[in-house]
Amino acid sequence: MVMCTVIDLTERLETERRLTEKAREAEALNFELARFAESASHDLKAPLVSISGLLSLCIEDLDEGDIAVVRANLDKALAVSRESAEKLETALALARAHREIYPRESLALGELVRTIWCDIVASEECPPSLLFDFQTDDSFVGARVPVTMVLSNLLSNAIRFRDLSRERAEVRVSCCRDEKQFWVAITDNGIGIAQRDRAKLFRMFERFDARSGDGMGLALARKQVERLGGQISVNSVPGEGSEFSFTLPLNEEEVR
Amino acid sequence: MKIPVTVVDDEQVDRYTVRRRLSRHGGFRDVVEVESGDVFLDVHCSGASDIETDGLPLLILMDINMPGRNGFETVREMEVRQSKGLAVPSIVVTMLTSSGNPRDKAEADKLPLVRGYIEKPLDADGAQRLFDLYHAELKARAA
Repeated sequence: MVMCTVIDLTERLETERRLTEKAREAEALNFELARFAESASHDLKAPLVSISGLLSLCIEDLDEGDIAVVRANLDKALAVSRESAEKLETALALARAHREIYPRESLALGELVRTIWCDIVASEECPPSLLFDFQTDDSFVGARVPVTMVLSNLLSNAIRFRDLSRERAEVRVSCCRDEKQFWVAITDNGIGIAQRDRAKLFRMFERFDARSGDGMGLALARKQVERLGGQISVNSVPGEGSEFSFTLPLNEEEVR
Repeated sequence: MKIPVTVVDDEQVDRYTVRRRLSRHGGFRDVVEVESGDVFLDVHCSGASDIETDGLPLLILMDINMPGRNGFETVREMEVRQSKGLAVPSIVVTMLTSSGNPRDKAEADKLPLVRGYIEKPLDADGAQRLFDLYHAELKARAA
């Protein structure tokens, strides 16, 4: 007599696979959280330390009756605290980024770029020339808020790091698409980025020189692009310029 | 004898605090302020420097977290340039940082040029510690 038992393992295997995937996601999130806590505690401590240095001088100057100096230093302390509150706001936006849900709508790259560009260059005396190089129809379906955030960061960096020794500073926006994705590049003929800085470029709080903002822009840009299912990358030759490009996945109906 | 001193820090406010604290102490010369490690290397470790030391070692207060080369990278490059005769010949480096991270302290310990590690903000005690540390170093060098 032969006895035989057949058990269908498909469901169990599927459950195991899902659990492994969840564990991996949790691990990635933990890593990100630890990195956030480390850089946040370090970089948000710095301004508090600057303020306490100023305030302790203020107390001594006050005791000595040096009111004008006290006033000037309180102004400085106030400026540092305001800056740091703004920076914290950006850090919070970054921490929230993966939870926000934005509606997808039909967008046109050229129109988005022109609007952002006008806002940024409004305060520039001599802005670079903006050029378009579209290899394809520039419309795509995406989330307006995060895409605008990414484009603003890349465009304002291209302007800020322009090469002032050049006769004509240029920022070129290109796009193309294949069956899977929409590809956008912002290319400039600015000062470029040294090899050693490139690895740190997309990390939070990294600043490269006095032209850098709060060190959050590219970290936020990467976070948004990755959330949208794309990738961001950089190519640069110091002294010649930089190219930041990102991809956005296309839905099937957008493939043409 | 007043100590010749340079502060390398990207934060203007922190350079100001150092300047005021050292001037209050009285044992230091006017602070030469430099806004980054890269600038320090370019201006003072590339063959010529206009920092007057009158033969005394230059005390350098080095921030760690700076745009471009950080404090450690700057000190390592300074060592290389010193061996080539391009840097200020005699220096005493102290890290002056807002970081209390043990990893940063350990990293500072590994660098032969670094003699101290002081956490910001620099206060009256910190200024005195710098003064003592510098004189202890002078004594050690004379011995």
